[in-house]
Amino acid sequence: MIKSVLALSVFLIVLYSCAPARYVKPLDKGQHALQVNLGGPIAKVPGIGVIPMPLTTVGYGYGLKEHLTLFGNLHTTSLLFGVGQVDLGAAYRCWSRKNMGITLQPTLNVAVDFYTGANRFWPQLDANYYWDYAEWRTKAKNGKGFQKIRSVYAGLSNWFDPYLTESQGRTNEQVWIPSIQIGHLWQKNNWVYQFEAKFLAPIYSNEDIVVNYPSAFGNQGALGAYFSIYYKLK
Amino acid sequence: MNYIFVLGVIVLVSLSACRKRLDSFLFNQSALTSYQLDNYTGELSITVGDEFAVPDFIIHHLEWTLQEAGKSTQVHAIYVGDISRIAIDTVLLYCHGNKDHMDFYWPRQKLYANIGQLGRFGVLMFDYPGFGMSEGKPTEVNMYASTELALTWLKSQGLTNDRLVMMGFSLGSAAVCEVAGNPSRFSMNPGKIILEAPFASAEILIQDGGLLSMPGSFLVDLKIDNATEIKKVNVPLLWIHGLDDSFLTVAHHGQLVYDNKSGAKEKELVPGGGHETTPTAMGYTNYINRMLQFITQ
Repeated sequence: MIKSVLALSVFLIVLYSCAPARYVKPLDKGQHALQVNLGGPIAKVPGIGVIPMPLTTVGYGYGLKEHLTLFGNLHTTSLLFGVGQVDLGAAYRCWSRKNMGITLQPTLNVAVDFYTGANRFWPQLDANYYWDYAEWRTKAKNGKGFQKIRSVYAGLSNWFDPYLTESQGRTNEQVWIPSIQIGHLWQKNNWVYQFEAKFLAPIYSNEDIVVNYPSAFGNQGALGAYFSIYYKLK
Repeated sequence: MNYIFVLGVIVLVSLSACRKRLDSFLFNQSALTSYQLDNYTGELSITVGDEFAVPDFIIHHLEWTLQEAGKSTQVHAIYVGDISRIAIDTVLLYCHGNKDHMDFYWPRQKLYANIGQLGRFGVLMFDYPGFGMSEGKPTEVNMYASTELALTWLKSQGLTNDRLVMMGFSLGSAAVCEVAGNPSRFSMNPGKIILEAPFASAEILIQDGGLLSMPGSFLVDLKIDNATEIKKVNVPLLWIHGLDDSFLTVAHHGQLVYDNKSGAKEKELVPGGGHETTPTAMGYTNYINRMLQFITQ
């Protein structure tokens, strides 16, 4: 029982609840971007080792205003299980200075089982602070040149589970699922590479859920690792 | 824009056609070319001493034919006891957990064969399709179908419902609850049932594993729902569960099943007992004596 439940639970926890912060730095007005993301919680998988789960999303973003980017992402891994999951949201820069800013990302996560019609939605609200700590600009003789920006960010992610009653009438005791993330952005011209480490659900015990999570908080929560690539179309 | 929409729909439908549910993760079977029983050198559910030994002459290797999607496959079983006494005495039908095969659970069958005294009750164990030497696919439907084969064989040997006790361990609790909760679908119905470390339902397993409250169908096609099936069960229940079982916890699984059972029921919660090790923590003699008390009262 043990081995298979471990493997099952690894999938359970990661499939529907994890993605990196979206558009920590909003796009410019009128700008389009495509994004792919790989990563998930780090877990000990029997027979394999300690690895981040290879979850994937693909998405699109659009700079509606100078400080407001709209985005949507399709969770391609859960799609392989017959469940369509998307996250739709906005990144709004509510405060900024020359090299830094704070953004809010209200998001709605929607998941629908194509086969049974069962569905769930989970609201999410993230807040992130970023700081551009280095920037280089060159202008070549042909006029193209390049721009490089290095940024770090940190923030809080909050998932809300509005389903207060679970199977068999059990009370859902995890209606608020917070996570803390830190990350780094490498931007070169139209390409942005994002790495993020996330401390998932540090307020909840990771014991008695039959999966071994290496966590920075001992028996609480789990660690996650994510890598994203953005390409700005315009 | 319309082209993008159409393309998106095509991609969605194409990818969803590749759906692979996680049902197979619940079946952790291993194939065998022969059963070794006492000579088996692999991992065991528990280890028991010589005081629970079973002589070869009361060990019977059985084979039944299962019809699966128009194909005949063989299901293997082991009966310990005097087959001629099935018509007159009580028999324990043991539905094992989801690990490996009957060799893994053989020490448990020896324990049960010693309830009361050696050979006091006949004990039948079988491998679900895909487990051990049993052919076919390990699925929920096939698990129930192979259980029906066991019941059919016992009935053909003269067993009556009142003398049938079914015991399910872990995954095996699903087979027991399915039979006891749906009498009309099976050729026999137990007079009493014992559930050791039962899980409440596939959905609860999923909701416990994930932080979010999601439908079970998001990940599995399994319909196993012991916590609901048990509501339909009218025969006495003995629930055994280790208090230190961190895989199927008492609070989230066994207790739900027990609470939903109406009528006659008893429980034995075992301090120090893990998922597999409850008999060890309780002490083998105490463990089988508790079962004897329940069966004979």
